[in-house]
Amino acid sequence: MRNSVLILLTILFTGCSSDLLDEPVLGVQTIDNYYSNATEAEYAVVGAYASLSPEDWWEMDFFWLIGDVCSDDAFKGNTIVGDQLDFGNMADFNINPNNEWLDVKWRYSYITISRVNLIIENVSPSEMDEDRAKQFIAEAKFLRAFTYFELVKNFGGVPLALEQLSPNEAQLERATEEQVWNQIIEDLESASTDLPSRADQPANYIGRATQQAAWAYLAKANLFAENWAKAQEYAEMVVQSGQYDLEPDFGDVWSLTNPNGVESVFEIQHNYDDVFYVGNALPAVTRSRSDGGWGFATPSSNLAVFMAGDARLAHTIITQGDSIDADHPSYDTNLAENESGRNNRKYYLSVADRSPLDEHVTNGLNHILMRYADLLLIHAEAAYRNSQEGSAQSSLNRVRARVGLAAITPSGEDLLTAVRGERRKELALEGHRYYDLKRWGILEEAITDFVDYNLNRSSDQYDSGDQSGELFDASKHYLFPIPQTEVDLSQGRIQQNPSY
Amino acid sequence: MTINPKTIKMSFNKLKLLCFALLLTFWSGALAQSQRVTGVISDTSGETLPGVTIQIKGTSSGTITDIDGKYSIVVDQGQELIFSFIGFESISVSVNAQTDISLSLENNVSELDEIVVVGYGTSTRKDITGAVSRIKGDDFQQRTVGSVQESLAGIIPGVSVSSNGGAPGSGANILVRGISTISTNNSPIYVVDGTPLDDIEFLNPRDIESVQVLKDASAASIYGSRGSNGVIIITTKTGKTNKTSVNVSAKYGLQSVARRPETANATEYAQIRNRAAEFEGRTQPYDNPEALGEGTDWWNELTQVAPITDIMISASKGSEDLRIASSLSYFSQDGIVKGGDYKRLAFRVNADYDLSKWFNLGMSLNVTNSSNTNGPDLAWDLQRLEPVTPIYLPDFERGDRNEFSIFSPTITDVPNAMGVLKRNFSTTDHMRIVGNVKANIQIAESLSLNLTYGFYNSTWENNDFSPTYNIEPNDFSDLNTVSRNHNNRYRHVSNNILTYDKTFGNHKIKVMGGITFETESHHTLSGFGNNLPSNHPDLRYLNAAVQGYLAGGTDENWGLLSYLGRVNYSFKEKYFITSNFRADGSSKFPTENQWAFFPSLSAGWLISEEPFIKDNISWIEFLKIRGAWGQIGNQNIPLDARQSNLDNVYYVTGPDQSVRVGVAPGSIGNDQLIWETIEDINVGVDMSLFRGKIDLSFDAYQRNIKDMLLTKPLPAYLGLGFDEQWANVGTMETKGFEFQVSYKNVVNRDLSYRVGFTGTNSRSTMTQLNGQDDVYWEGNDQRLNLLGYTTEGGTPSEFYGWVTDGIFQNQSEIANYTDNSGNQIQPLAEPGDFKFKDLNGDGVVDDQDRKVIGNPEAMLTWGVNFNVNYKSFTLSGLFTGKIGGDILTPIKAYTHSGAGGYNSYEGLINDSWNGDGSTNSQPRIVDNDRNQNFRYSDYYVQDGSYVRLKNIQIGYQLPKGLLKKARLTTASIFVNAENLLTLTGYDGMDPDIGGYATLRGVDWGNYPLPRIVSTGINVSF
Repeated sequence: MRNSVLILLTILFTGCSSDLLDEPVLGVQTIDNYYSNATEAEYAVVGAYASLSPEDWWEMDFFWLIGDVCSDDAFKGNTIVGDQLDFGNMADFNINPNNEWLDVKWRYSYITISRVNLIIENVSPSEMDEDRAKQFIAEAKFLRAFTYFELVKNFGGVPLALEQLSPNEAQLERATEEQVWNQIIEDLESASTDLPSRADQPANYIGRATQQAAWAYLAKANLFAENWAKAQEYAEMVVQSGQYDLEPDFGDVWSLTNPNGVESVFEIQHNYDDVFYVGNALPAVTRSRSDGGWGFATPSSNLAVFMAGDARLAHTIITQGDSIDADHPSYDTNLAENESGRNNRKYYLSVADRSPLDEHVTNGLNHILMRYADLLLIHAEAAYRNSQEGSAQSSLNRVRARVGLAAITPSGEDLLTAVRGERRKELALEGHRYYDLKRWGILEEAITDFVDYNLNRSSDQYDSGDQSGELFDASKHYLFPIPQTEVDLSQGRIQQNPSY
Repeated sequence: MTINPKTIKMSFNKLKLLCFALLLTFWSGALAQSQRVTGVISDTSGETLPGVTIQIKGTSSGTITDIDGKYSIVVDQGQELIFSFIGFESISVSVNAQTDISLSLENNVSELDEIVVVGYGTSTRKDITGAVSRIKGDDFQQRTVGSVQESLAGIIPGVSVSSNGGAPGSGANILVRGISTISTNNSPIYVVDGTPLDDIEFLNPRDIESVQVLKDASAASIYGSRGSNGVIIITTKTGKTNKTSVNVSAKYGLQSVARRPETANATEYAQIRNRAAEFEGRTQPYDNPEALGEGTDWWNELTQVAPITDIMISASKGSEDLRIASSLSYFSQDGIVKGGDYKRLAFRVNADYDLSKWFNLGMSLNVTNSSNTNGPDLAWDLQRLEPVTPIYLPDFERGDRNEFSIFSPTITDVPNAMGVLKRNFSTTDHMRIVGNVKANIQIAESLSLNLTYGFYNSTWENNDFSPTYNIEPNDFSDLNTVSRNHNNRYRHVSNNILTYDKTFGNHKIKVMGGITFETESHHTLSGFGNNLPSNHPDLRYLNAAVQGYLAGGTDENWGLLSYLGRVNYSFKEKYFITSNFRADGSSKFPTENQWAFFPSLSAGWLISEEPFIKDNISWIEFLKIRGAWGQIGNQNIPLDARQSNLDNVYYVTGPDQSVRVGVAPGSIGNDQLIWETIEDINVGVDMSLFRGKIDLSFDAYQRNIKDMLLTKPLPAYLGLGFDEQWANVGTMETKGFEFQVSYKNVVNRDLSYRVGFTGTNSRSTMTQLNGQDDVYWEGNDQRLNLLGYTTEGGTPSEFYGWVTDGIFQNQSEIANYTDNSGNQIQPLAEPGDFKFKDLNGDGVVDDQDRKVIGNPEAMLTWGVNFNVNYKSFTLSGLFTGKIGGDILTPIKAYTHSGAGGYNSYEGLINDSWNGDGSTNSQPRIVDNDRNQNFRYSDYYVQDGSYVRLKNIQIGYQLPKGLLKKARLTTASIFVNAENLLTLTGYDGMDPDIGGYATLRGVDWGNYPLPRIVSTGINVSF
């Protein structure tokens, strides 16, 4: 009996197999062997575009406001110090390396870069339709250039990650600004040969990068890097493509019902969906706190005064009491908590256009990153620098004409001033101002003047006396600091920007 | 002579009288000599002992006690009765005039023969050569806690227990010998009746017979890859042969917040806001702070006195060959922070059957159902919410707001806590069925086969609902959502062990060999939906959701195959050698790397058996020294740590802006991962002196942990966002010692006492961390940024920041704080701001001027337990404490700055700087802090030493007379207090802070410590 029990049990247990140890991870695909056909490459490219506006409001969307609040165009917005304290610190130029918004911008920018690097490295024309492969790679390069543009605009020279690195290879140092600009230009030039022209873009790809978008960014990048000739050349290529025009009605530029319009060169795509968060945070984030919004990035009277008499003012700024639409005959900007009694009009959505649920992550307003008016003004600036004043005036006047302003023919310094001023009025509150002032070298002058205006000259009933900008320090604030975490993790390889 | 009948009668009567008198003399001689004596014999815990031998000294007569422990015997006065029983001290009593001799016998199982469970077998205290601690279930039964882990605090040397957040049902974290791995999981593995488990929440502490902790590698190596953090072996109660007992215990208590943070009231808050405005030249926002009075005491409103209940009924019965024990228990704890509670109902049955002389079959089954209402984490918010805001909106402002929207908007980004509480609907239900079947077959005289099959089956479900509400633009939701997460976990363990145990003369040898298989399978399912027709409770289900459907689910499987063996050899029962060996193959590692081997070797010398001690020094009853070496491993990484997974992401394109699916890397895997190995050395001494009055044990150890597995943050330019990657990051060394001293004394029949003192010390150093200058940061706080600093040569999770040097009292002090060239070192400072040290002397205060400002490791973690018995009263308790160990308190950036509109601690207005000479330790209150006064500096670091009266209980045993009437065997009532007193210099809520290796000693202030006062009864039949 003993023995039979024993034998039985021995059989039972030795019979167990050792594929006990073979347990793959279930339910997921991995990077290995991915990108091997057109479908996978397509998914990867969509994945790269998705990083332009990740799901939540704070990941990428919110930072577009920095270009306005760190300038004379807008304030932090709501007067509640504890509400987004770090954002307020940015607006006041009380900028520390551990400011969360810089950390977020940096991290999410590099997420885009790593996604596109994987595409550029792994998508091979030999494994799929050659043209499609080239297009995917071109789109990836476009996005890479765009993202490095954002990084260099904010931080100066940054680590140039151009391939997927393993953690052991994480030894990058900061490249110089010049090296970054060169990389941006190189990527865009390479991309522009393989991107489809706007007219040839398949319908379901509308919203993705086009050849002209690459040229437009080449124009802009060269302008920022002060390669005036190239800037003008590329701007003219966009103009000559005939694919773009200015919207006849300025109010149609930023409109929920006009995505990817005739003036739009490149915009972040958004829409309302009840399952996935593919929306734009800015309409909710900038709207008045009395109108279901969060009240951030409120326009300044300095800007309002500058735009006085211009037709674009009504489309840019909502002032307390303005009649906006049928639901808002006298707009309440929530004066108790509004630093300047005004709100952003460009991102404003009427009640009917707002998404019904979780607005801050589901509104469908596309975020225009580059539009034709911007390109024309880039052209004007570049032409001026190339001493082609006639050409510059022509582009300038096209922008003016759209809003019914008479043509002008200033010359020399006046022309530059006119172009700069036009830029401010045309692109106000679209996230450009800080970067423009910075590259023109007049940031300190502008901020000092802004402070002086607010404290001494302003008679505005809402924001006069506001001290925002007093802490501006020209020795540091032309660049934002590299996020402290990044400096710490680099063990000395990444040096902080001066004076931080 | 004439015969007179009267005379004869009288003579006869006289004869009768004489006879009677004689008889009487004899009789009373017999009465004076022999009498009937009866009594009841029990053990020291009051349980009756059947089968006790009572012998009349010098004779062969005697009797034994019956099933109720009663006996009856006829004995002469002056004789002695000897009461004896196996395993107990014999007692002799002289018989005088008493007819009742009842007494209790004391257990005298020699220390040496005490059985210790060591993993796949047992040993005795005499044979143990590794570092193993053993405590009995009785030692921690009186704690008022829900989990087994919490009940082990302060009584086992080398084991420290720290809170796991404190909410009801959250249990506690156990560290065996400090940190043994750098990653977040420092928990030991639990082995319950032979089945390795990581979740023992289903166990009621009162069902535990004994706990053994395998502390060093030589003991734990038998568990190979799971032994790296120590092994806690738990055996549950079983029936006892020829004994029947039924026990009922019930305890009810009330919990309150032991120490609340004192927050400023509305008046002080307003004064603080005014002061900030004053310093910045703005208009002061509050005209009349005094008129505001107390305002809202958020802490008070959202905490409460909460009940705790613990009831258990257990029954056990044993006959010669069958023993059964079973129990049913109910535990319920409401949270002292509103919104959370925990309930558990557990049933257990254990049976053990000797089918024949060589075949024993055992089984056990535990069925436990626990349910948790997951309250929101409010403690951090309650300290920051402004008192000037009332909790509710006044009626006239409510309009047609729904029930979740009638709360006042708050000034800062901290949401209205009552609003958060009221819209928190999150419950978790967890059902566990755990059990095993075992067969023990005695194949031959020295050879036995032990087969165990254990299973763990858990069903976990979490239901969440979030309503629509609108409090303010920053605190609203237009969308109600519902979700359900459902996980099933199955674990099967099969242990097949062959043991050979033989003694040849002076040599005793025991060889054990075995194979074990373990599989674990995790099935997950989740569903989300939103836009329910209303917030009504009946509609809070996925079926009612109109849109936003999203579902997820996957399987995760894992397997482990192991070969193990042990050899014990002893010579003359004085010299012992043990060697363990285990080979583990784990499915978590890539095929080329799946197997790892864990050997160990240990030896011991029972010096007290040597003639020079045994014969000469009588007060040393037991003295043993031992030394051990071993290797164990750690394979505790997520299943997908080695691969880079792709996630789905979404973007819209096209004229209709429709959603397109894309993929993007969700994690970056590391295919170079290898096992973590730990190697350690242990030396120890155990002794028992003065016939067991004093017990001492001391261990010292050093362990080296190589190729530590850790998620590390990586430079963002690698594209990971906030994700981290698993890597083998370096080497750590942990050294320490632990000791236990206990003293017991029986003063007389009425008074006896016992005191024990345990202490643990453990110091860890990172001996190598990747590259030379590598630094690892962990933890993130909005204000202080990265918190725990781990670098080569230092202790993991040090605190690293700036050093304050008092406060600038006036402008000239600022102007005079210059470098050699006369440049101001802190040009942005104003009077009232902190002065920071320029440690590297370069004329600026920047990143380079940081240094290690604190170390969370304690010098000693200790516990003192005591037990005093006086007649029917018992006083027992436990002190726990810590000497040394710094604490970092990040919430001070909010509560001690007065900035940003957040509330602060009470007294800030007077403590903070307000003019030249006012204070040198608390900076001025200002919103716009250009000097960054509240950067990560030594301002946040404090010493965390404390002494705490963790538990104290006074019990009273009801007298036997009363018991007899109710037919009870024993009954006692008691009053118990948990966390009654704490003495500490630390000003936060609770200095007992845990954490994990790379982030320790950080007080997140998440949940207050409860002080519990309870009362109850223990009754047995």
